[in-house]
Amino acid sequence: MKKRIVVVEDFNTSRQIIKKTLEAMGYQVEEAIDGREATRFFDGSNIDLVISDYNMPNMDGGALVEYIRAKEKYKYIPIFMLSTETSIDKQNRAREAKITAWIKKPFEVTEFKKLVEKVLA
Amino acid sequence: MDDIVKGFIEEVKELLLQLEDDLITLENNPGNPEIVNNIFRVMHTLKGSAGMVGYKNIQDLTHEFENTYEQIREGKLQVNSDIIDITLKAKDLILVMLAGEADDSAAERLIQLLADKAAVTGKSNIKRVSGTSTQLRVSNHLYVILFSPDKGIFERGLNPDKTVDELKASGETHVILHEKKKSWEKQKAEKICATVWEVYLKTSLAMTEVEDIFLFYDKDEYSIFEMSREQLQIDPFLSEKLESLYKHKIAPEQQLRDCIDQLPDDEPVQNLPAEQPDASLAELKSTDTSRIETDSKVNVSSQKLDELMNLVSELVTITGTVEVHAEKHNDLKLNNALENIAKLTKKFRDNALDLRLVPIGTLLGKFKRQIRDLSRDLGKKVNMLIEGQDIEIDKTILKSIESPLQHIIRNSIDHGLEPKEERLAKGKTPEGLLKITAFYSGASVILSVQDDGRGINMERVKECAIKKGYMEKGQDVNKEQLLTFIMEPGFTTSENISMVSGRGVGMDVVRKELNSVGGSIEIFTEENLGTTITMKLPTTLTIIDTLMVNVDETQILIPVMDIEYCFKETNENLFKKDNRYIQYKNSPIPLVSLREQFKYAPSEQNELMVIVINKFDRRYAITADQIIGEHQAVIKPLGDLFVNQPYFSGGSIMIDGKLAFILDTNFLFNHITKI
Repeated sequence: MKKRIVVVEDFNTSRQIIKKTLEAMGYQVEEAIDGREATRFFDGSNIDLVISDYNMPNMDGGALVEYIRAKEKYKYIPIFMLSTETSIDKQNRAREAKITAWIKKPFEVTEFKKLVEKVLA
Repeated sequence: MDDIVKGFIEEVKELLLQLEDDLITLENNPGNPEIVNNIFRVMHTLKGSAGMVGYKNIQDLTHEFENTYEQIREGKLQVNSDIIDITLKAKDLILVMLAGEADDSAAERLIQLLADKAAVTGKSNIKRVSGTSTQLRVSNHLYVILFSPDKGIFERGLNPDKTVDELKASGETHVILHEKKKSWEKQKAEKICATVWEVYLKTSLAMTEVEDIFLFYDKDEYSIFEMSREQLQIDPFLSEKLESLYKHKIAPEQQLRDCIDQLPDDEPVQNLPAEQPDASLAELKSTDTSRIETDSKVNVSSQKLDELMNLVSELVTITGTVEVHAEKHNDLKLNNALENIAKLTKKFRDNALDLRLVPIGTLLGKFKRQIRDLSRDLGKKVNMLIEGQDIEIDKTILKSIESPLQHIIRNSIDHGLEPKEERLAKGKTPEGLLKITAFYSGASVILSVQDDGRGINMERVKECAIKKGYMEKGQDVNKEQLLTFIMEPGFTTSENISMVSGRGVGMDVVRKELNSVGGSIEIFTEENLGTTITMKLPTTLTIIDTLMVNVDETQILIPVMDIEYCFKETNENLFKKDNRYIQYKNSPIPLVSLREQFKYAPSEQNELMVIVINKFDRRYAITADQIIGEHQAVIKPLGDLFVNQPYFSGGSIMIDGKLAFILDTNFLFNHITKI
């Protein structure tokens, strides 16, 4: 069965790039434009990875992670957080926020694919 | 997404152009490491980005070529024209793939072909290659890894077991679990991690590759130390860690020694030449820097550039207007400030213009391939020379000359250059020469295509011209004029393709295209010596320097690049005689009265301004009432009202808001020579 990835990103271009990249890798991709919209996917169905932007309207990445980790089924799924932030400070805070990895935007596709493949291996 | 794909396609097309260029260069210098590196890099970039926008097929295809060129780069495979041929085909296929019209079998065939050819040439090499690579994979690194994931590691979507398994899979390992109070299994069930792994790893992986296994972990969650079996030098940091782990029950040295001994002995290590990995490393480094250089280029859509140019044009116009009004106030400070604004505007304009400029080589590179293929098809050997690839020209102009240039080059090879036997019989070199030269000349760029072929048969041209009714039989027409006939519409018929060595084919279209961007074309030919076709092109289309003149009430702009000389002459000397010629530099040149052309009443002034126009060393003079001065014309297309007049190629808004017309010096020249 295809692994299922939820991509949350308010900027359409970025979301499409990520989606296309993942689909080309053979994954099933669900799209959401912000954290709030993303919540509908966490309905008990199987999700293998969440890739989310940090800065988004309505519900940001931090709040989304909190939401996901509060659900028993999704407590331990990998989450990648996208951000243009590079400061260690912010990254550490996110580590406390329980995510798998920060991905700095813009990212290199090969690097991005490597991360996804690794975490889903 | 469409935009992304569009941008991607544009970018790839540029890459492919460069690729083709490199491939052809490589064919002539098979040993050039820089070119091989370039090709490798293009393949690598394509592979990396194609998948991102959904071109899986391009990704797969380029992956194979990346491998091949990597082998070539490492000297394990020899380049030959077969490989280059296949790569050129791949380049073509990628273009088809971009259009979404490729079927998978084409790629498969090409990959198969590549595998065959690469294997044939490198047969003996390839065997050795695989031998070398196993040697490279000898487990010659010994690492001690302390892995202590954060207790909340599970909530980060990670499982330490997976990581340890990955370590186990990467070489020989000896793993010790320090579980603390609860067993690891129990910790796993409770999703709280309190275990430390002590891992001894013998592997072929480099330090960075081992670090990659811990990609998702923070720096303080793992430590990796490289050890030597022979000399046990312990990092004080490792020593400290081990001591705390074993609570001083065992000396770190002893612990390490014991555990390392658990690992199997090394097989007899075949020593590799030391420089080999270093060389490849150095190459990698150079790849990286050059990639940074290419990345510093930004691709902008030409639409955005046009927008910018429009804004800059407006700014230039408005600055002029403000200057005129400010002059009335005689305010020193205001004038100073305005002067600065004018300077900045000019810089701004120049910079904006510069953005539109691209090196002519980007187009010429395209032709290298065509020339190669065409000469191969025709069985002619062509020696191609390209000069002035760095000359920069407006992208729009470059685009518009593409098909004319293609035409001219094809004609040169197909009809101009003789077959080998014919050349030898004429005492020429067996290879034909095709030389494309570009250089700046004032504000314009001269682009010429020269061949040393059989030249244009003027007798045939004459016959055709008579048949077409351009001249009478027995009429004395000089060569220059005969050549202009070639560029007349309709002069091209299928029968004269063979008669005039195909020179007539589409030359009218070529001229029309060039005229539309303000360029002009000229042919020089000498029988059996060859033909040179020279194009004169403006470097940019949007803003040109002009001379503003008055004709009655109308303001006319004449491109400065066309003007050779201006002088005053009395009305009488000019027009009160039988012919419409004036003496200029000891030869008569045609004289045109703009008033007459525009159907104004003849001027009653005593003196008129004479402006000598020079188009390719052919001169004519025009008269105007008055010269107003130089003007930087921001060219705007004329509206529908003016669509049917041929005299003006555009308009420009003056600082006072009035419209001035830009004279089409080309049209005027053709017009008067016809009279």
